[in-house]
Amino acid sequence: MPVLSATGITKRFGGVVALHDADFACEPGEIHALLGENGAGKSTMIKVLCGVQQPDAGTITWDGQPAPYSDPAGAVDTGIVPVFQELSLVPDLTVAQNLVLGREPRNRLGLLDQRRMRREAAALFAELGFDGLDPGAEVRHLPLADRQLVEIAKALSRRPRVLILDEATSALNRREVERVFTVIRQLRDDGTSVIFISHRMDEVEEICDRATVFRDGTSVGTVVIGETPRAEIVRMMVGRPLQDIFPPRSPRPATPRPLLDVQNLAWGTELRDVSLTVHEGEIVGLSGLEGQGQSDLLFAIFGVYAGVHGTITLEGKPVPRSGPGAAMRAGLALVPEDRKTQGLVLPMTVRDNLIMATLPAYARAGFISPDEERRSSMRMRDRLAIRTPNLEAQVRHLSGGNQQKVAIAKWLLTDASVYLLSDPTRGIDVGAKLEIYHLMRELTSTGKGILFFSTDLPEIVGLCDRALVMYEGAVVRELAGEALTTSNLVEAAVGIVNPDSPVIAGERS
Amino acid sequence: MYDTLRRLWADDESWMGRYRTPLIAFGLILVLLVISGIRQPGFLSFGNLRQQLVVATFLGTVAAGQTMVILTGGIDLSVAWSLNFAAILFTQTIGGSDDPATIAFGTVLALLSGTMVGVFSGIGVAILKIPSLVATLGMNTVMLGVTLVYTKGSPQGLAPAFARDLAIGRIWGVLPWALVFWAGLTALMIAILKYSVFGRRVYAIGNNPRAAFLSGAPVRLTLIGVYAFSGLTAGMAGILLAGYSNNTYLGMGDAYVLQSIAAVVIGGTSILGGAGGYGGTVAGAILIVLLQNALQVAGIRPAGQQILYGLIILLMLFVYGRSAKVRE
Amino acid sequence: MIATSTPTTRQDEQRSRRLARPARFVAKNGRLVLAFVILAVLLVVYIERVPQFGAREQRSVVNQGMALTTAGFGQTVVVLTGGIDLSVGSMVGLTNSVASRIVDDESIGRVWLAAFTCLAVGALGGLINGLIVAYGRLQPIIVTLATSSVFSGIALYVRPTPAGDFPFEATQFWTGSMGFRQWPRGIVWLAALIAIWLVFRRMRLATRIIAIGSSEGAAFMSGVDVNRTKVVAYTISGMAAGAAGFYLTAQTGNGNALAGTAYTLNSIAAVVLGGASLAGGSGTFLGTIAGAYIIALIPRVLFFYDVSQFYQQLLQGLVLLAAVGLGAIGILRARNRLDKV
Repeated sequence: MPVLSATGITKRFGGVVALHDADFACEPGEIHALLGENGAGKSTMIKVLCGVQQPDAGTITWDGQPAPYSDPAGAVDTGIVPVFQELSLVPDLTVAQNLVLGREPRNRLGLLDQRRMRREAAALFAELGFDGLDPGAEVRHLPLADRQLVEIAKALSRRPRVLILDEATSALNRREVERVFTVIRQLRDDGTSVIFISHRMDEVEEICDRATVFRDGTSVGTVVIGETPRAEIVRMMVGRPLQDIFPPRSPRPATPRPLLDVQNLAWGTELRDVSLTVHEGEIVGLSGLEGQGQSDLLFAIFGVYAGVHGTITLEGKPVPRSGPGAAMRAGLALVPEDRKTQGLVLPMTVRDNLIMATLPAYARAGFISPDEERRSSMRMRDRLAIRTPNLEAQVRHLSGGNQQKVAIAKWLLTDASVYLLSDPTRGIDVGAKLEIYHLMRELTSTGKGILFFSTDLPEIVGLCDRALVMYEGAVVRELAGEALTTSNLVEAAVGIVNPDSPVIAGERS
Repeated sequence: MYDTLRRLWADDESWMGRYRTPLIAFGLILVLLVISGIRQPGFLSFGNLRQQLVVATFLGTVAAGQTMVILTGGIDLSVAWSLNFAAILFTQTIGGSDDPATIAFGTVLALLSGTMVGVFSGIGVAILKIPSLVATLGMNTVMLGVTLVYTKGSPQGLAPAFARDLAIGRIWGVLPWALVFWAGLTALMIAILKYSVFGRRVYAIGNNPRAAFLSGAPVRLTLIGVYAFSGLTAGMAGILLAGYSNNTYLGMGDAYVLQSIAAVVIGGTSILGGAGGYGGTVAGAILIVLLQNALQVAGIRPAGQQILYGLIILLMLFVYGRSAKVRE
Repeated sequence: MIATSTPTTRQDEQRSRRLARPARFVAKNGRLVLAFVILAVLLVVYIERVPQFGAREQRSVVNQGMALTTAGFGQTVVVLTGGIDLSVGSMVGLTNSVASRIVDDESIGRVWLAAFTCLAVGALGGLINGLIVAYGRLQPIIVTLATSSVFSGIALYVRPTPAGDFPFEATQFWTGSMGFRQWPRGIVWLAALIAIWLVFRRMRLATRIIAIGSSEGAAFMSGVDVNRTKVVAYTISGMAAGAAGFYLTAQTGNGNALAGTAYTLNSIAAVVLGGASLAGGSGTFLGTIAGAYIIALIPRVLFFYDVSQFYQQLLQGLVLLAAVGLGAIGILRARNRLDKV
């Protein structure tokens, strides 16, 4: 009998349907993966299972009985403990304090027993093999990888029956991931279940027993890892064979002009001596493991960082480094990674967001002409097929894919020469992704250049003319043409031999 | 018909839904007028209402700047002594003279002083990232000190004729110049907030300054401009008040700090920034002034007035529902 | 284009962290250190100038800042949750009035009754604030703005005009000098407040309050009862304001409904001078003490330097801006312009 199961779950946010009629069941003592593209509904399903969100329809059972919890605290008490992407650590408290937050140990006087807190923390880390974590350190000062380990330790200290890891290993190096896997395997052998969400297929194949695939807001099927070939799983996730997704490359001019030229760019320790060129009609991709400087590079080019060394020129003219406004006027555009907090102003309308970067263009003497702004907004809505009831709708009510289209459309209005796109298809549905791919091709066919960072390897292979693999802030390999394959990308990403991250033998995605 | 109205009211994006809170505020004004009118017929007299509107002009002027600051997510506690100093600078520079040049100079000086106070607050908030509460509080204290030092405790001077006329005078003996001024200010505010590039940026910054920055908006300059504007309106109010009382005194601006904030909030602008507008503030200012007048006319002691005043603000906040509440 | 990199191991990271720790203390607690430096400077300058720093002068210094420090205790707790209490001043005025009414007939026995009543009234007011903020889901700044008006109104009912009497012996008790070397008794009250703070800091409640101010979402996800903790925080603030009001009665001998007006913004200034972040999650009462005494000492210093009292507020405002501005200089060196926005 499944320890935790959900049947017929439907959940709506405003006008957007995140889940409809989705099922999931997890047996005791198994490691069960939730697979699916970003935006397919995995995170929403997890939130429903954890009591963070209440479903609009459907039932959840625990050990066969109706779920006895209705909020996160209740879920934890029942035995379901999540580790989310958005960290649940308090920055101004120490590691030890965070571990026991909500159940702090007290001494005889009723005051906090600091020593016991530290001891228990140290003991927990020893038990898990997470060496190098200082219980007395303030979380604010910890690097991301350490924070993730503390998060996992905190979840494990609750002795869960079902542990949920939602992209909880994204910043860990190979050795740390191995450590976590050892712990998870031990948990499984002891009868605990683990629900594992990750977009790293190789990790999923390494550790999971079964996997449930989500697509477009519903569950598509459950497979046994090892019995079902990878291609079939990917087909379930994506809904069509990979080859059909990417639009064909358009013919490029015989001698393409260089548009964006970056030489010897450096910024602190995050970017080290990066040089690259984007030509007209070209899509250049940035790849590599997460957090190796890809998004930093885009921010640095766009003037978001101060203290950047090196030269940046666009069509021969130097690009001022004083800020986004200056970069924009020079002919650059940046669609940031996080559309919710950086790319869009969610509470404002679609129209307001669309015209945000080009306000002066619709104005005479500082005052905006409503006709001009409406015309431009409608033009963009039609060009990108943004699905919204009307232009006055708040952008936060749109689906992820449509939100991203608004974020991109905003920059299309600036008629930039080179577009910097930071993981533009993260967290959106397949349909919208396709539309964005077509848009990118369309842009380059008119002579624009695109510098594009993506965590999705097939995208890099399918869209880019050239790909630059980054590691620790530097470009370590350039792949083009025949050499641009997913396996080459992966190999280049971990190609540097490093005591903390040995190369894994065997084929990866 | 009723169903359509209900649907429109609940829809955040319809005309009625977006102006829900100012509509509630104006509705309450009507209720207040009716109740007070019934209890004290003199309250509803044309003369009394007109007088109250003139008084509301002063509050409305200060609240114009406060509206803009609150829209960016900040707060301006410096209006009290910025106003006071501007008023005193005005009367003491002019000193009762009739010379147009002197009068013009005094006026410009007063407005400039208010604006500069705002510029300093804005630099603190925008560039040093000092919380607006602290930066404007500090400027308020500094201006209090500057005023005391400048006047050595006793403000001098008289307001020139134009200020008196503006504050008390009427066109054709009927329409107060003050209301004409307020109407003009209201039109300007609406134009700026709804139709200007600057206004759009104010809203964007109030909702998400980082996204605004990444969209190329000059965030820091806009913020300084917002606080400068608040200082300017405080200066304007100082000139008006100097004209109204014909002289100045220490403490003339104190009541306006909390009242301007209350007017903005009652008018439906979210204290967190990013949503609202000046139309609501106008309603809020009128409501506050009428309320105080109604309580006075009803013979309630100042003590009781305070209590009711606070309770009514709380009541309004509850009535507003989502607008005033904590963003989840 | 293959770069050779020397990857950092965890040991490298740890070593660099250990070296940076003393530097980090100053960076993290810079504003706190600065506050005490300013206070020390003021004290030195003051003692230099005072004709004789005897028992009377010592008493004056300590007592001058006592009420503000007490009110600042509560404000510190509320600010730690990321909120603010603008009703502090009104509550001080209210309890000041209530205490003077209770003790009206000059009998000593009533003094303790007055003290407890002040605490109770303050707690009640704070409780109301907390309930509205937490369960009403309204912003603290306007809630406490509104309740401050209500408390002021009630205070005016209790004491329409300043009046009242306070037994001299009781005033001596609270604000006099002790037998021990004629030190001001205020030192004992300060020590008591510090002791209360140190105990508080070691309670679960304090950890939860800081968690809420630092990241309310994370605190909620960890099972902290955010609402109940906030209610407690505002109740503490009310009680502290009540205690401050009582002290004011003992100090001035009468009750004045408007006596507390300056305490609202001054308590915020004291908390901020002491290095706390208005966003919540960091700050300490020890810093507030420094901040409160800086504010309280400035008028005295001016007096003895024959500087016109008119410069008092000007200096207080400049000191506040300078202290906060200096503490904020670090932002100018931020490498990521997003942090400067």
